[in-house]
Amino acid sequence: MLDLMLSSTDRELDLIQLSALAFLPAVFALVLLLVPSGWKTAMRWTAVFGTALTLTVGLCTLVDYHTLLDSRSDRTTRSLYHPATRLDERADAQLAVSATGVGSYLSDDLVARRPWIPRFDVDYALGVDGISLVLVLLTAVVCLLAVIASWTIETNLRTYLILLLTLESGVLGAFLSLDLFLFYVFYEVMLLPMYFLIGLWGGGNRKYAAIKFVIYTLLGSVGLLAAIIALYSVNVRDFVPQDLVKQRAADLKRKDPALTDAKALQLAEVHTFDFVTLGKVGRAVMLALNHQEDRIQVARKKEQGTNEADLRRDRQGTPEPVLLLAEGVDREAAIARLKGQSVCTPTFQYVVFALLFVGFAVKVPIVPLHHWLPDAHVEAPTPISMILAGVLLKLGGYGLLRFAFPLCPWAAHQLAWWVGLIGVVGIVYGALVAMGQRDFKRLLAYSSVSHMGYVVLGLASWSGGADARYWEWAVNGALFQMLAHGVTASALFFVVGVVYDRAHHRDLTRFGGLKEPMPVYSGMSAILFFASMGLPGLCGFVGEFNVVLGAWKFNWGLAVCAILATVLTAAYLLWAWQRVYLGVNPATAAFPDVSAREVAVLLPFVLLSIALGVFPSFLVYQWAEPSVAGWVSQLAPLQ
Amino acid sequence: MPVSAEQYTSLRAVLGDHLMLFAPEVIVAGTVCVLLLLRLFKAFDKLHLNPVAAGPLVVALFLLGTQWSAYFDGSAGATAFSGLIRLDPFAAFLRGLLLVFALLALVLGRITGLPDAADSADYATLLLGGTLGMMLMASANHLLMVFLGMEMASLPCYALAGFLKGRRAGSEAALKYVLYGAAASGVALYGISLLTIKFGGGSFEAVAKGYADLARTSSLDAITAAGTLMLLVGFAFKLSAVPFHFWCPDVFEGAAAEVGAFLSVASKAAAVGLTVRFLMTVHGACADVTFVPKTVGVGVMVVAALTATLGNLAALAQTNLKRMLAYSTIAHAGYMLMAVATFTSDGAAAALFYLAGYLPTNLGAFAAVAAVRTATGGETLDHCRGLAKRSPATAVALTVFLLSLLGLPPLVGFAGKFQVFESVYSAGQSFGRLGSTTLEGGFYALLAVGVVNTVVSAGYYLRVLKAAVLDDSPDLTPRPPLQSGEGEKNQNPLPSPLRVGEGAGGWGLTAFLLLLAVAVLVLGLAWNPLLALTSKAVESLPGR
Amino acid sequence: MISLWHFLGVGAILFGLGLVGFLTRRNLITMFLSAEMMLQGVVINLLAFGSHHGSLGGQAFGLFIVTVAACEAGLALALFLMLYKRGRSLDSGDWQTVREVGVPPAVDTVPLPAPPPDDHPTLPVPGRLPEQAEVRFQEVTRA
Repeated sequence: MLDLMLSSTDRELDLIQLSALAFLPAVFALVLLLVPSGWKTAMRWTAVFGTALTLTVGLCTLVDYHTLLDSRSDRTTRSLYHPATRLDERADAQLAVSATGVGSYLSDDLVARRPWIPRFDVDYALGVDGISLVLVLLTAVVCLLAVIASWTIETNLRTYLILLLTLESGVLGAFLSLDLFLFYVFYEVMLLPMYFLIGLWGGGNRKYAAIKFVIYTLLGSVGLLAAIIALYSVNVRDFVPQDLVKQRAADLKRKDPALTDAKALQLAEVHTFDFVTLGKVGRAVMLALNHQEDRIQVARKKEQGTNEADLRRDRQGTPEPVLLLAEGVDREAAIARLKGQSVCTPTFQYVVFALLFVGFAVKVPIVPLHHWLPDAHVEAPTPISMILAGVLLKLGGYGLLRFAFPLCPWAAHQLAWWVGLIGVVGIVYGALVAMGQRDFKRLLAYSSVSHMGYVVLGLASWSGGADARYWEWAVNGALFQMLAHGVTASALFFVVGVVYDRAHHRDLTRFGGLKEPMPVYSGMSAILFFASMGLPGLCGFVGEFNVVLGAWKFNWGLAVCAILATVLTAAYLLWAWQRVYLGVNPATAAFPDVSAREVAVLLPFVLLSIALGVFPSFLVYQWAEPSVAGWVSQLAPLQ
Repeated sequence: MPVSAEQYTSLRAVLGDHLMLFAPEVIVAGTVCVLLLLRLFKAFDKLHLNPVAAGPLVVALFLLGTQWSAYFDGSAGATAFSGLIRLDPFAAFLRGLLLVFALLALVLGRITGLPDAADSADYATLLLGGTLGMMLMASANHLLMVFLGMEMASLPCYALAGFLKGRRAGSEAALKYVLYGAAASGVALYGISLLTIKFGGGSFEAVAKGYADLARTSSLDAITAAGTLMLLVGFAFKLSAVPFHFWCPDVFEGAAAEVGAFLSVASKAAAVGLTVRFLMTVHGACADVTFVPKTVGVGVMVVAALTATLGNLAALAQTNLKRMLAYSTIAHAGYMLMAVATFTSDGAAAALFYLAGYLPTNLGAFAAVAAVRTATGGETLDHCRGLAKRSPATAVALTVFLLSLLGLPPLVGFAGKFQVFESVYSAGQSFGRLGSTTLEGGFYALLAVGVVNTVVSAGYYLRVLKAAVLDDSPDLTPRPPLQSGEGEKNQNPLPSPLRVGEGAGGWGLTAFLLLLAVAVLVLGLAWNPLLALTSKAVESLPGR
Repeated sequence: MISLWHFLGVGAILFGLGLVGFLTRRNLITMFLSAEMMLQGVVINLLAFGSHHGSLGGQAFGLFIVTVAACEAGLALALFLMLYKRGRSLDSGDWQTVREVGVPPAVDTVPLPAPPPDDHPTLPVPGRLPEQAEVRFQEVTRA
């Protein structure tokens, strides 16, 4: 990989930066191998340093990304909302450069692409936008704090830290990948570290929980693999720069000299794992299946200064065009070719969407597939529970947002109501089951199921046309909900870990009275409890509110259910709070208050949950929203 | 018929060319003879002959490597020896694979001490003899060579299966293998005779031409159908495909792990190569693209699906590691057959890649079993428990091998599985475009079977992983080697001629395992070199 | 007139007999003989084919088959001899140590007749009485 970067004639800074972001933890995992086995403290500090460095690179990337947004903001568009800064546009520009060889790779576009396995058109492609950056930063923060929370781990410390860092690398790589294949590789890389982390350092029933986790995840991911293979088989020649097609035609001719040039050009096929290109195919298919193929238009040269808004003005009265086909493509032939492919059939769309949806639903987890989560959470050691709740579940939400919806928009639209319903069922079911739990961790696990339901509901709140801004709110809310849940859930798992270290059990009925001996701890956990509950002013409120706002327009019934479920959320959290902290309990009276290390973990979470609740727009929305707006503006007009 | 002087010179020149291309086989055959003769001298009694045998193999590999460029630019690679065999890139790839494997197997045998110095000549002779037969299988272009290759590959394997002479299970393994093998070769041979009679000759070209005539009338007569079916039964036996897999678990359980690796990898490579070449030659000659897939292909698809499913399901119930790996071998044969069933060069390339990845992976898995055996004296799941505590490096390597077998990225097993699935899906697409909805649906169903099987296989691979890494070590003090004959009384008899306990294997075995694990990882990350080889290799196959 | 088909018929019958014999018999030697008989059916096929076409291909093929069959027989018989020495039985049903976990060995409903005792008892070496030989000696004397 290093060789690839250094030997390349066009040195690209962001390639190095993004690769560093993804692989720094893995590099530190290798460094850990060199630490002498007795030096446990050195190992811990190495891991802290590695994760902190990763967070630093992540923050630098945030600054770069903000600069990128800012550089394009001008008076004609809303500040920071210039279309050219969207991931799609940047990736397309990059693709055009690599296809034609004209121009050079930009160091500041935060998109990097190099061929990896040319035979199967697999690229090593990384890139960020607002959506992925939110989750990358969340991952970096949670992993850093999880490493600090792991200070008490003594057995096989080196292996533990190596696995944890490998896990972080896998997650970051998955968030950064622009290539479905690369994404899948990273996605699977996380599986094994998690298996061992639960299975070796977990509680009494850890082996069962670990294997359950792996089997569930694997079940989802092989479906994902099938979907990826199906998408790879799509001929995308009309959606990529035409120089690429000419190259393929030349290759064909070299293989079979009997072909004429025209015939070779006609036969040439282009396949790709690039989800930006595949997303264009998905949108074109949606239009074709809705009998609106006259809206599919060929993109024009950028120099002419036309964008979709101008084009719309030109064609008053005609159906709104969608620029999907690449420059220089014969529109009629392209549409005929598209309709001739199996991708343009309802069956294909439904099956692929279902495979993608189920694959990610296992991770989210969505209700019928959530069964591994409580076991995994209960058995995992505290820091791993933090990562599991804070980071891994987000991969499911990210996958739905990034892959399932944009790649199969037609099926997603057809099934939007059902997806929303599944989300609401998750919200209500998770909350109800959480109320019945006696195990503190199990309660939090089910609260995760409930909270992640909002993410699904937000994504599913498909509203097109003039109502698109409602959907935008909902998707923004879903993204923010992922962030907020990442913060509060991992913090609450640490809260449980703190009390478990003292009491050595998690039975809610045997706690009580913690407020007296542990005032600092109780105060911090109170804030986190309320943040999780969705109290205004704390981070949990923003996401849920936005989701419900958007969902109202989509289907008020679902929205009402989601709102009512917040009452249940408040009920089980307050009840848990009451059972753990209030009252008088001689059994807990002698507990020492939190140590400095525990404060070091809790305090950032507390501060984050307050800051995110008070300044959501300043901290997150201002740079994350343009990406979401771009996402919605692609899908919403297709209806 | 008198031969004129010019004819004689040209024949000599041709023979010289062919012999040069055939040199690796000649070297292997020569080594076998030398090894047999070496036993006549007392001076070699104490010498372990595995390294002696490895030397010529390196030379043979080197020769093959130097010839590769000739294969690559197309100046070499056609039928040789009046059409009996075909030395093309496809054969060269498989022959190289087999030589590499034989080399590694010899090294492994030296490290674990499966043959001690006294037995090493026998072991190396049998191993090289088997490899020679398999190399012939991979390059056979005539039904006579198919038969000879299969027999030359099988006979040494029968003896190898019973190599642990003092052990009842070993003898039983050899017995079952011999009986099954004799019957299977009889059936295959009858098929060969039918095809020869029907098509007036045994060369693949004659068979292909006959099939092309049949394809024109779109009908398969009884004799051809029966002949092809019986020949494929022979292939299926070598591949251990369902329903001709019954020998496989028993033989693997009874034979030593090192021999199991040879049977599962090398034997499979040759059989897959032979099957691919035969079917692709026949398919390539038919003008009707769907004729062979619709007749023979459907059978291959069904067998592939059954093989993968049954192998994985049966493996779930096993506690003996070798028996479990035997069923896993069956399952993997199923995956390879899926690629074969596509009748595309992509599918053939996928099968080759799968094989190349399977080589280090499965050899590593068996070597890890051998490591467990040398450390504890047993080969069951119980003996595997606590491996991570006893020997972390072995546990890490075993993890890599199992995950590669399961097909997790970024390991080479995933690369192979991905290509197989991709070729199956695109075969479905292309048959759909040709208007054959049954074949299209069949391939999608095959893909679904493959995907579901991957999840099923996680069940047993992870069980081993759990035992090795998560579980605590039971009280397993290494027992002294048992005397021969005592094995009957013991449920898990210890292979008597094998070394057990501290010092057996040692760092050499660990290094061997780690080396293979690194190979599995590197091949899984950098596909390109191997892809270049496989795609070049399948170019020489007829077909589209 | 004897045509090609007659030869093929004989070949098929031999092959079929061999196959049936292989599947139904349990004496190891008989099983193996049956397997060899299948090969002989093939040889007849090929020879007939060779003489029918007037080519030597069939004969050459046949010669190879005979050779290979001899090799196979050598190996198999050596193995059987070893097994017989170990178990004093040629019944293939005796070899069921290696089998699926949890599956009981297949047992005959009608037991086979007990193998006859050896005609030539091994007599103990004068002056020393090995344990095994003693047992056998007693068996023989009792009989």
